[in-house]
Amino acid sequence: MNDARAKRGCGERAWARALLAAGLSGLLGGCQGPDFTEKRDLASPLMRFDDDPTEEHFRRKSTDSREASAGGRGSGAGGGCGCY
Amino acid sequence: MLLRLALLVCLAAAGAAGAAAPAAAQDAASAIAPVSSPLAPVSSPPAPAAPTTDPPPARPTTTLSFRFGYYEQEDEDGLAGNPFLDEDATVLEPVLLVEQEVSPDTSVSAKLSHDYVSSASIARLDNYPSQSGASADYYFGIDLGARTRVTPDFTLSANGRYAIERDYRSAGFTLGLRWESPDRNTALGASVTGYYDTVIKIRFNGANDGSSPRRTLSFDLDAYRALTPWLHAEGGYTLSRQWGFLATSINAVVLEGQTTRPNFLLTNAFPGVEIEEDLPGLRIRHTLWGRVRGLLGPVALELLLRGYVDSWDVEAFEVQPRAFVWLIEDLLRLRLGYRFYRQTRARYHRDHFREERYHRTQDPDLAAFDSHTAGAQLALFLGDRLRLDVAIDRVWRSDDLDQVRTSAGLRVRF
Repeated sequence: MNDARAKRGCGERAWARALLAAGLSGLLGGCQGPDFTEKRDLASPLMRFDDDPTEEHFRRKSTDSREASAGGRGSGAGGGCGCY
Repeated sequence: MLLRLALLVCLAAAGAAGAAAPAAAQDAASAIAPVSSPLAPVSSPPAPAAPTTDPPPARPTTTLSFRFGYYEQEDEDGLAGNPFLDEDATVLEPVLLVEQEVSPDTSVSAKLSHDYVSSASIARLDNYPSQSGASADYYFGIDLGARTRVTPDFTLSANGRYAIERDYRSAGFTLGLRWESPDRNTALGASVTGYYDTVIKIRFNGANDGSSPRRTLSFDLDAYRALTPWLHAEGGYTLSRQWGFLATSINAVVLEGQTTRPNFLLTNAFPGVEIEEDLPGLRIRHTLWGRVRGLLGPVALELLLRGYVDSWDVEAFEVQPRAFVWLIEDLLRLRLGYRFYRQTRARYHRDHFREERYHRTQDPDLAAFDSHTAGAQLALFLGDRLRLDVAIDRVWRSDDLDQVRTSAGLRVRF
């Protein structure tokens, strides 16, 4: 039973290894990236990641206190009770 | 266009290139715009094709952000989520953030936040003389931070924070180091976060069992990568270790079949016996996430993927596509988003308990459920110094604990 559980666990975590491998290969791959003169679109307000930290704060608190999977996107768990 | 879209989806589905903390991405975005400082914390206008003259002397700026959030969880008949308890809850949250440049390479920040929580689970404490008047919870938090560029490519950051609640105290810190490539196309970051929390154990029956510690230590690795002139990505990995008192002190588990007497504190006066929730004193969490955003003509599309596992057997997965478009060029921006979230139950969760187990919980947030979230935001940009926005998210959960989140924000730089 433990073997079966361990085997299932390995399978369930395979996505994590695949995601990590894909991410690292994408990051470290041969893509050179744009020149400074080509970055106009990346600087657009349409392209900013997390352009308002107060909205991110509100979103994170309301989801972390209602779901079991706190952490990620620059934050770990902890720092509040959320017990209501 | 189709080629761009296909590439965007493939990259996101594969976990998309690198990863970067929000701060890293923010900095990277700032670094490519001709702002007075690479640490400028507010949205900047698009960069010109190339600088032809020296920029004007940097002038330290102050950025003030304010947001008022409203959150509501619905449990109309008391049967959603934990079927024995009414879990209606309303949270009002104002947040104020002030960011100040003190030099071209250094900035400091202060964030103040407050939660006013009105919930059925707290109001029921009013049935006990020891907690008389308990109808709401409060939260006050302060976070002070500083960031400085120590070399052209390396930035150090530090934050300290403290928060107080009716039954909770929290002191925390974050130390971070980030490297940016000279061309600013790549950023790598690492940070460590610690929390030294104290839980005041006010129980479901009003008893105060003193206090217990809860500790958290998290390591975060992240990266940002500009992939093409119209596509960039970020992502990261977080490892968190928590130990100490990890149960929610106010939570109870209802034992069935122990009595026939109605319990008027439970939904429909269910004849159950309440005992304290009990959870292990150690939890290790792993989170992996990545997102990619690309500009496809007038629309920016983003896809975020996030996966999570922990030592309590919770596994969670999230996919979140979003679209950003100008309704009025450079003035009014619309964001539309959808989020699918699924989690498995913690090993210690049961919907029903007929006998006492050593570790036990009926907390619906540790149960298996799916959720669908649809949301929209309208943001008004008045020049590059003032931004106003309103946002709404509606959450539908498979356990019927549906939620609504709305907020309005103001961000001004002067």
